[in-house]
Amino acid sequence: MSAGRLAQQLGYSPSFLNQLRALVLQNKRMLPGPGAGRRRSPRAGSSVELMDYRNYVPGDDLRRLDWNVLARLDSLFVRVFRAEENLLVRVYVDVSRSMAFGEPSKFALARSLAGAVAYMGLIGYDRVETAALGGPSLQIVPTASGEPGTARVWSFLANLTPDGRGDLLRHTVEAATRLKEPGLTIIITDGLVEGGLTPTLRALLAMRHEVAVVQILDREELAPSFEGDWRLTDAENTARHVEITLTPVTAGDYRQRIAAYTQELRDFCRKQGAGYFQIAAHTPLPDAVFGMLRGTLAR
Amino acid sequence: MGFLVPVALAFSAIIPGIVALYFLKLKRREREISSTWLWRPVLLDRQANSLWQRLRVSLLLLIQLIAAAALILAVSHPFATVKAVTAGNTVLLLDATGAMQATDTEPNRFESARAEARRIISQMPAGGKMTLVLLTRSPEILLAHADSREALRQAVENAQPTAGDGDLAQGLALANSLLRGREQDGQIIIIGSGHYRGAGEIAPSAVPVTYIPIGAAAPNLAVSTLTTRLVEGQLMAYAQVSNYGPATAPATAEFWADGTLVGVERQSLEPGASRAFSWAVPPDARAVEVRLPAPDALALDNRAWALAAGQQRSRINLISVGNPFLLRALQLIPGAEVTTSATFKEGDFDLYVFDRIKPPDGAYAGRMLLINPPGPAEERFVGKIIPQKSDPLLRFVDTADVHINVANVHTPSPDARVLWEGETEKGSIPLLWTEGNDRAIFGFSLQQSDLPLRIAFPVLMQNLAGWLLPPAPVDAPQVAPGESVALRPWPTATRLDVKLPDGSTQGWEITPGMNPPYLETKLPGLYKVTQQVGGGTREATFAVNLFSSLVSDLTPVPELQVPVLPEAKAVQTEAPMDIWRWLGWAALALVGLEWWVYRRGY
Repeated sequence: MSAGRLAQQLGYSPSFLNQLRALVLQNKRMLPGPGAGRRRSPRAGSSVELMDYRNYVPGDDLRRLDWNVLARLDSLFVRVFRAEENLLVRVYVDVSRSMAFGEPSKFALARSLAGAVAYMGLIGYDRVETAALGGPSLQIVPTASGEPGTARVWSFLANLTPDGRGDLLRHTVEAATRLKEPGLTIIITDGLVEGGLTPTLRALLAMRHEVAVVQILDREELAPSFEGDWRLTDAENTARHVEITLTPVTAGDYRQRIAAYTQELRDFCRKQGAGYFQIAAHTPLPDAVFGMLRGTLAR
Repeated sequence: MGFLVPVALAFSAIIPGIVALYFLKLKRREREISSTWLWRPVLLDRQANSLWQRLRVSLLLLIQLIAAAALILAVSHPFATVKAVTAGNTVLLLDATGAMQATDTEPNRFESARAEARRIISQMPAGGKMTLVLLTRSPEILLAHADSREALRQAVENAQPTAGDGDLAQGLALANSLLRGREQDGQIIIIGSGHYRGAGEIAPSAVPVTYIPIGAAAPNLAVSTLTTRLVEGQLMAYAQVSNYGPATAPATAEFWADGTLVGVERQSLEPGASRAFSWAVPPDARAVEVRLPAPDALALDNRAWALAAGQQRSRINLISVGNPFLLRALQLIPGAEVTTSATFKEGDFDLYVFDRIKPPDGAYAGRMLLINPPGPAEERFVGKIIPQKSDPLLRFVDTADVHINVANVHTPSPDARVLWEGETEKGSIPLLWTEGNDRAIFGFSLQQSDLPLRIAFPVLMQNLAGWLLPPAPVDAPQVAPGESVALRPWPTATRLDVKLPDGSTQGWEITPGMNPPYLETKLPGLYKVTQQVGGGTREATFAVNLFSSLVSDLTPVPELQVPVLPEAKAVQTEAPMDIWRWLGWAALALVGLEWWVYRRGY
């Protein structure tokens, strides 16, 4: 399938893509990259930016010897320059069954958001790895760079379906350890997993990833509109169900619960230096993308 | 305690049905949601926080069962037996005097009395009878020996308070007469303010009397008197304002003449005190009014009206070539306006006096006093005057020192009323007599007598004028509300209209000799009486004023002293008290409670 048709399937218009081209993914920390690129790296390299001096040891390139220091101090010092590398961008999409809920579904927005972020990384010559978590098994697209990789990433995303009941934490750790460079990890999920999203984020942060969380929730999840006597079954585990009489009081209790959970997630991310952005599933794509980028990821 | 519709208790069969329905398994609808992770703590919270969680179904069930029981009891019309105020035969005297319009109770005393009456009616025993009497100046039976509570309630609703006072002696006499032969289980109940006429004339009652006082001490200023009087040529209005309230009050009195404010005075009045106010009445004023603009508990007595004095004048036309004695005697008649002329010309006069001049022939029907009318008559010397002493027209007329020289011999009609006769040598002749009811005739010339020089002359002229002059259109310039006024139309009047203070008009076509009493003096204010006489009108005014301390005094009377015969004993009866309404309201409240419990999820 051509990139044009894939873009159409994911809801991208040409003008929208042009706007994305003008933006660059932003990382807060200097991160070592998998190859040469255009971002400042914590490693020494061959850019024009002087990073440090060190004593000359035989074998050093004489072109880097500081002749002025030698003339003044009669000592041999070598100039060390900062390396310029690209960034490893990991885009993780939650494809668990809970993502299929919502009108429109949360997954539709998650897929389009992932495609847009990946496109920005590819255009910016960063290394982009895309993965689908929470499915029957971990699905992953190996790293790509440059615009030619776009079709592969978009095709992967377009073929995903949210029907998994897999372990989000396990898939995340498995995907994140495939490459040793920490990089920028963007995880797009509804966060409705047993025990919450915090353990998954802790694992990524422990691997020194710079993390950004995009949480997509449907309005029914934020404020249920149904009332009466219900037997509520968990989409990802049909053995789990709750029998409840939904009254304004119980609905209020639930609203307080989910508000407390999202606040807890937001506070955790703020403390750990991670980005957090919550979007409603019915938000139009451009608003969602640019809102997310404004909040955490773009400059 | 009993049930009027016990068969309705059969509805109790629905109670097991409610229980059975409740214990059927609750069918829940299925719904798949994205995650139950956050729902489970909600359920746990509710189970942990509410001791009633396990009993939630039972609590709702309990409320429903109680509500159903209350409804079933309500439709079976339960009643409790209570001691009744009313006896088997009760006469209820409902005070409808002006004092009952006082607003010291909400909305007013009469409405409070109505509520009491409704309460008493609801306690009427089964098979009992009640008579409703409106206690006014002339007590009025609203409904006699009624056994229908609804009819009694309707009669109470239709009753209206009056502006006047009430006669308790008459009311009790009427009540006792209504209970004659039913004294064994008879009772009189008085609901009212306690101030009535005839308190000293009450005959002992043959049945017990219960008094239910209405009202409380309340501030009330009243115009207790208003009159006009001529003082040294200046017409003055005198008003008295009384404080019937329990506290000292500033009294501001406004004086109005023909609808125009002409004076205001302020004085302070201690409780029970009265103060006089006076104003000069403007020269052309026809009616004056005093108002107390400050609001108090009774508005009825805050205004009073009076007529400016001297407006009801009698017009007398003396047709004479000159008779100063006669003119002076006529001018001495109170309220008379005398004009003189040499010849007769019919005009708007109440009395024509012809002094030695021949009256007109024909059909003229006016009132006339003829002094020695000329004509072919024989003259005789009069020796002695023989008066008809018993005739009221000769009251206080002393003829002992009156002498008549010569009199003409006239021939009165057969039905003439001869007042004086004269002894002559040829027998007695009539000297003074009346014809019909509009003509008096002297058979001698005043110049031939010393009568004008005697004290008897002005007295006789007063008596004759009083008989000849038409009466005032109304018999009293001022009456109390509810009092009748005698209307005295002009002899030739064809129609009479009365304009009431509220602007409405009542009118009648009348015939000569008709003196209708006017009874519609319910509203205080000025009443204007207009008569159609010939092509024109004659007007008169009278005022209806509430100058009654019985109405204005709002001080409550805690106990009414009514003498009761020794054989009259209180009758204790029992009456059913409906309680189904309370049960109905309770059921409704329980249904509301159930909805609330359900919504709260308890």
